[in-house]
Amino acid sequence: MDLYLMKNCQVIDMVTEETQQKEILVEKGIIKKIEAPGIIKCENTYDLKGKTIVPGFIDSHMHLIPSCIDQYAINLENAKSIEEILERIRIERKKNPQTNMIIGSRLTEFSLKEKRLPTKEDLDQVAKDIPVFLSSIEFHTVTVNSYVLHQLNLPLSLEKIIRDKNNHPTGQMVNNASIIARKKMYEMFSEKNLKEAFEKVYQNIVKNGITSLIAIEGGYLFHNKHVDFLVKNKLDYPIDIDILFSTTDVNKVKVLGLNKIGGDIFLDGSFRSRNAKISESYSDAPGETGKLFFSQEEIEDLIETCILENLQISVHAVGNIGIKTLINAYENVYKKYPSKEYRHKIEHFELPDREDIPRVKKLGLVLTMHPSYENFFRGEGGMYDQRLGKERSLKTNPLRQVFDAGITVAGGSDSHILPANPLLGVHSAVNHPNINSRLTTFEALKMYTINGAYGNKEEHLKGTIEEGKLADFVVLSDNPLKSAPEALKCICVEQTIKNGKVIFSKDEQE
Amino acid sequence: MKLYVKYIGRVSFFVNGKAVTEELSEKSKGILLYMVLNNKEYHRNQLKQLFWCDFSEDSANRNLRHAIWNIRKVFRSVDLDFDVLINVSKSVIRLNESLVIERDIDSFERLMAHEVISEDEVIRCLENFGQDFLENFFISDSQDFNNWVYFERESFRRKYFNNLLSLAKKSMEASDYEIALKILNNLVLLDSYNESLYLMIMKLHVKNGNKSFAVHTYNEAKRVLREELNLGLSDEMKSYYEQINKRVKEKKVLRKNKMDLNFEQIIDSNNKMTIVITSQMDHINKFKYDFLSFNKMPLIELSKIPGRRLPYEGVFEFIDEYVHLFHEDTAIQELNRISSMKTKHIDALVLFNQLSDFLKKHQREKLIVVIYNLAYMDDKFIDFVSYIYRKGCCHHMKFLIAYNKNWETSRIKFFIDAMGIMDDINIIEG
Repeated sequence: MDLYLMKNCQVIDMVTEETQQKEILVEKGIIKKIEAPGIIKCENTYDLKGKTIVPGFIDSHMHLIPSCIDQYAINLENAKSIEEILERIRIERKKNPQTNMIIGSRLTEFSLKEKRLPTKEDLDQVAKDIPVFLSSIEFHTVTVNSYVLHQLNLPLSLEKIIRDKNNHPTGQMVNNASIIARKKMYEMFSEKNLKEAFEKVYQNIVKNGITSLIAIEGGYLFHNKHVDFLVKNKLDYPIDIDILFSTTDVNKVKVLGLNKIGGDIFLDGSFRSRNAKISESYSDAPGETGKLFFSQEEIEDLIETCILENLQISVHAVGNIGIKTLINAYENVYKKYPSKEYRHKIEHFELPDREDIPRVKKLGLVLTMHPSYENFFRGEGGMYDQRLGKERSLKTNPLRQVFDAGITVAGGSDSHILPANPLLGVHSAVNHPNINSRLTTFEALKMYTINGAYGNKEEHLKGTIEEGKLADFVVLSDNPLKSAPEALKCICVEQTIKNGKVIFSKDEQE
Repeated sequence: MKLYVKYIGRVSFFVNGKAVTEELSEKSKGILLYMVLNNKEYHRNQLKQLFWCDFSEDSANRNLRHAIWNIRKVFRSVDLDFDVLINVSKSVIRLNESLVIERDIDSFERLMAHEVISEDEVIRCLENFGQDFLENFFISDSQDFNNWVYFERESFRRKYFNNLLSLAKKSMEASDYEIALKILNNLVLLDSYNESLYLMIMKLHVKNGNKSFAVHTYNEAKRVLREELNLGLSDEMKSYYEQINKRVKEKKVLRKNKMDLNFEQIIDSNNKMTIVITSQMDHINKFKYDFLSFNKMPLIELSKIPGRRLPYEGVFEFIDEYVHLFHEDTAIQELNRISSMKTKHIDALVLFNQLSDFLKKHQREKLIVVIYNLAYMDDKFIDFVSYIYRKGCCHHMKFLIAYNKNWETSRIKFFIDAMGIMDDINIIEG
């Protein structure tokens, strides 16, 4: 239907905090008119039966292709022994005899009874003739079988291959060698498999109400061919997929005609890997304070180049020193090239010093944060607790403080690390374990709607339900503004509508 | 009986010159590769462990017998009476002592033992030994053999790398920069994260007078390490780059003060090809006036007539003007022969090479080439100027180039940016 009237719906337009009984006229994928019930006349109507609608969700930080590859991976997070890992590989091969590659993810030796990672000899027992890659949860260790090892051709100066007492490689690789191994894995992953996996991931995305997303792809942890794949295939899908190429090679980005760069340009690392740069030692590793991968001068050079090339840049910064370094860099470069038009970004912003928050506002930086981290990484004995200790972990993801400072904060799932589910993000932000960092439901919804649109310079098209904007909606089972905070997680997406067309319907799926 | 084994690149075997690789099973190949490399006596159990460690005793015995039969059969297909594998005892075998073994890796060793290695030998070495040891040779169910392959592959790569590196260093010491560069560029392909290689290449370019290439190498190293491993460059690299850059920056300051650069300075500045690029026609006119009043040095004027030249037209315009400076028939004939290439399919490298050889051979004391508007000249002409500058074969030529900023193409911009950091090139900003 090119022209139809959406009626009988509770509209949260994200302009005001109220829920309104409105009717929406949609013409050719655009919101033509919004009026109180009974005013607009139209033959074609679409009855939402009193359901609540919000603007289509925007996921501002997602690793789309790694999410696809995860579809093929055996999740080894809960494996208890090496034998269990091998058994799961055996089962996978039996289930899919045609499989030409085994990928295992989220492996950690701490949960294995042997307290060691499998070796290539272990893996050869169950897969001699096809490649096997097992990746640790934080990507820093990759274990491969002999088949892969013989194809890797690791440069001589990479000395991070673990060897046994006979000086034979065990198949385990750490740090830089593991990065090369992962790249090899991505190279071996066929485009056909990627397309099939993409279809599954797409279904999951629209099931969660996402109509636009920023795919953070390429760069040193992933593979640049993923960017090419997305450029080639993204238009086959009705949702908007914007690519954020995590490279520092400005020319590559310009050649592809992209207007933004970065995402996971890692200024520092992550808490899990203990390389997010913090001012005081990690609680579980005295003396370790993480790492800055760029010098102050290098990061300023990069920001300056992007500004001169008219590219929007976003940089990964997690620890308080990483964040401070990045803010300093923006500040120094902005002094040289002052403008009020900039909308550059910081990704993650997990542990800022409180005094740095107003500086972000002053510089007009947009933040992309991940409330769901609080849901998964917090808690007694959780990752934040282990790495940062109780007191410091109370300061992570200070959403309330950044909102109060007037900063625009977009929401990202960080899928494939965590689920691509904006409603989970809303729930996590509203129920932040630290009461002082909690958002209201409306504010949390803003992260995945209008703030996401603003961060992507699309606020004229998306993020609110207003005349002239795209008819991107999510139909919800309940009104989040009227739900108790703890009940938010029970709300589900009933329909996802993109450019006026239903691209997901729970009823149909059932 | 002669056996030739190729270990580098794709494995192959030749018996008395006949290719027999396809006639051998994978494990037979493995056994031969293993035995030929060390050429000693082998216990059958050792071979069974290497190739059939997961098999039952019976099965391993049967498979080993079959592999040995396969090897013998292949050699007997060339000489019926020749037994390549001798049973020293019931359980020990060795290669027949009368077998003449040649291995490609021996040629490498021999070459590396030479005191002096010619450029041709270096090129041959890079071509023949730059590939991997036992490339893609993998027997999925022979774990110990695969470990052996991995170990030998690593050792050969290390040996190749270290030998070539010391050869590059020797060539550097002998001021044989071209050879050293060839080797180092090859080694970078093998070990693209090795900063010290990039640094050596940068130093070579600087010694060779090509600072823009040194800068390019620095940027490439920076890009590769950042893109692949998220690493910044070492302080040593940065500081060396700063040294080059400092000179470039000083030169940039100098450029500002070179508005009064005079003709004599350009002519006598050094014994190298010189290029003056300016966006101010006044400067060109001034130099031309200086030239006319200075003495009767030959002059070629290009792009006097407006209009963008077609590809290569600018190069032939240069040849057509240049030919007028000669009276000797042989030189004129030679130039006309080069000029006749315009009617054929043109290979840039062939044309540039022949022309630069001619320019070198018929060097004059000084030659001024004035280009009134670089934008009229085609990109191939700019490539040609860049080529002869890099080759360092035209010390006698002094280019005075004017360009109009409004017509600046990406090729002109790149040319000016790249040339701008060279010591003997003056860019006078208008």
